Amino acid sequence: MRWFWILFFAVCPIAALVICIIAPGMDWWFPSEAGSPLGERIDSLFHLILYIVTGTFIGTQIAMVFVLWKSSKQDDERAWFSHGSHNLEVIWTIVPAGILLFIALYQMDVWAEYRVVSNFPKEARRAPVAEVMARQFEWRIRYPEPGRILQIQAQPTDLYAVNELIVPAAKPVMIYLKTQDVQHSFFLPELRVKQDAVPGQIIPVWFEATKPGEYDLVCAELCGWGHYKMGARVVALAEEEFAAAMEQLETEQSDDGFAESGDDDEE
Amino acid sequence: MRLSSFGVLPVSIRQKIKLLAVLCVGFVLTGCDAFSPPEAKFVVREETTELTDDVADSVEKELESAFGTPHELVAWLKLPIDYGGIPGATEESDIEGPLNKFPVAFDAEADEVFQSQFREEDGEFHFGERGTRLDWVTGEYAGQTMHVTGYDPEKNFLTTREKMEIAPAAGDTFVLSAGDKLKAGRALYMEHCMHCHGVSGDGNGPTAPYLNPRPRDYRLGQFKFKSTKPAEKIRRDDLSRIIKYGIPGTYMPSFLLLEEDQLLALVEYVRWLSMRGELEYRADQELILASGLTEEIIDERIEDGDTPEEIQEEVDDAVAEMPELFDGLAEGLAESWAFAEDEESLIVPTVARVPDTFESRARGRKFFLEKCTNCHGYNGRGNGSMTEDFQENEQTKELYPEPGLFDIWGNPIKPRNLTKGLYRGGRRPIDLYRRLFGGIGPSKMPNFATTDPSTLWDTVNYVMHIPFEKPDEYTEVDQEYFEQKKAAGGEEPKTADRDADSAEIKQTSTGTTESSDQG
Ligand SMILES: [Cu+2]
Repeated sequence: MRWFWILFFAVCPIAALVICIIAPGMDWWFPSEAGSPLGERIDSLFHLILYIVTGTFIGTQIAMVFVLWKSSKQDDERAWFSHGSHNLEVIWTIVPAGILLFIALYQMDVWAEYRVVSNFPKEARRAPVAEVMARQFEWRIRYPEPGRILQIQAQPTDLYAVNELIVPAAKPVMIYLKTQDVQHSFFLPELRVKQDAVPGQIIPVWFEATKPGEYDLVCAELCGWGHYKMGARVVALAEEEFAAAMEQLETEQSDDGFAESGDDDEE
Repeated sequence: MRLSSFGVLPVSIRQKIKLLAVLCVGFVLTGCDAFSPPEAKFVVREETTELTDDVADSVEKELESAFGTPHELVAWLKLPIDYGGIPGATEESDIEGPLNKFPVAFDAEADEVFQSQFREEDGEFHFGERGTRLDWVTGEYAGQTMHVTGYDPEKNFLTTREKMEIAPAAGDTFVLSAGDKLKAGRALYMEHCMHCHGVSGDGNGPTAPYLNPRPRDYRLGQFKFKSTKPAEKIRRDDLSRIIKYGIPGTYMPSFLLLEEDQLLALVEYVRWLSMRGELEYRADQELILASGLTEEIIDERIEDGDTPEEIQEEVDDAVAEMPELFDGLAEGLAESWAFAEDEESLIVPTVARVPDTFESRARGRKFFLEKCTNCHGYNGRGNGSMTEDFQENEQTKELYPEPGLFDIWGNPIKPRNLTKGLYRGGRRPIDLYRRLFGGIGPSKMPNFATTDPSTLWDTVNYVMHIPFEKPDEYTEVDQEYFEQKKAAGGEEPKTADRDADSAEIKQTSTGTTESSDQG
């Protein structure tokens, strides 16, 4: 029986090691590859932490297996009771504290770029693409008319959409995030963006979709019974296509239903 | 034809995995019942329960034979519903029975018919163990259901699991995969809509009590936001739009991520529920108002000296005539729902939108003062005098106990506050035009179908600009209007009201969509 436990505790770190090595390559940790440059850097931070934790885990496991193995040979020696070692405790407090401090400092750049408005890319800050208003249970979107700057107050020329946020691809974009009722969270898993929408606040969020395509937009804050309904999409389009899509939205929204043929209601 | 039940399981693999995960948990927590909807049967209308027992039973039976149950839907071909399925017919052949192979022809292209059964890998058709459902409509086997297990694209031969003693005659018609669309609609409805709108579409699902405004009860066959002329039904396009884009200011969210075919299936199911509800409602009206067959009226008559035998005879007659009553009502219903899809029902402006200038808006403002302020208020804030008066219930002819306006479902409603910039039926100019032209029947907003279209456009321009109005923008216009009124001998509204309202609006900011518009 004792050999079973020794083997069991020896196999655990080995399995953990194997899993940690193959996990990033198998896309187990993240929903697909990061679709944005900042997302890649966030991923690499996660990976760094993963490596540190893996190393620590394996180290402690080896130590434990070693103790088990060693004492399994001492059949008649009684275990002794210890009040601890001051030196050891100092070491295992300072070493993790140092590691944590290192992580805290190392990630600061990414954090600042992600969250601090003055560090946002200039071109994103200059012209927010849209206001995203979360509400129970959908995302209402307000764009400025093409060529205009988005205002905090609604403008007569604004364009409206719901559950589909169109943005230009391959360039940083910024949105204003708001909520009409309770807390929601603007979550773009593929782009590694997650930001709570807080009642009464207008929160700027920036992101960049490297490639044109459709990305999930979901709510990541349990906001009520219909929380699961808040699935939407972000559509990243190449520059010209984006302009065309905005123009089309404008045409649709100014539809007066008057057509010579008399048939107008197609969208 | 009966469409046997399939589980209400959605289709995509992703959802299947999700469901599988839920299933595992669900079994542990609540057992197998976790999946059946809390009330998986159609609710009986209150009016039906007021009928005398025999008549009520007969109504319910008739409804069930025409529509089935939520688990076993029935495709009643009298209704203008696209139940789904592909029609086909048998061709001439010299094979003699018993057989399970016969030549066929479809209106659609054959490779489209069996698209979902065709596998690229082996270039063969796979029908699975059950086979694809085939319902005979005419001929020897009319009314029977068989299952297609093979298809020969060269000779256009179908193979069925069932053996037939005699060959179907050439020209016998059948439907493949009948009811697929309605069943798909049901699965989606149960997943996305049922918890608010209820299994029967009575707007009384488990989450409904927590919502204001209440979810729509489809069973009167009436909807607010439609593009058709005042008396007409709602179109498929309108329902699609509502499901796709939601209704801001209410709890109806947007289901933009549904695929186009899912959307159409859902629309069809909602129409079907609506027709079912309306048929029951109309039958009840007929049996109560025309025939007087409620328990209450019968009791009164017996007190007045009518013999029970006499009354029983009437009841028996009503029960015997129930199928005809339903057929007749269904015909009328089918006609009106079908006509809504006709081009003639659609509201199409006869003139293009008038350019949105101050002059146009000023004309719109005058029309607004003339027609709209009683409900929408002097400044469009939805606080007109009607909201403080006691209104009469049209059915009971009594005053409601609370002041304010009520819709045909008996729910209290508020005229829209137009300063918020929230437009439930859509914010395109055409949406607002249609709202004015067609009115909102169920909430008693009158229609202006006979008003000059340019005046309607002026009003649309004015209304769309209300959220951005400057405090004194229309003072002169208003003065001019009231002077004209006075000159014509009309009565000027009390200035005190106007001033109070104006003072109030100056303190609040205009031109914002930030705050929600509940009510
Ligand atoms: Cu939410």
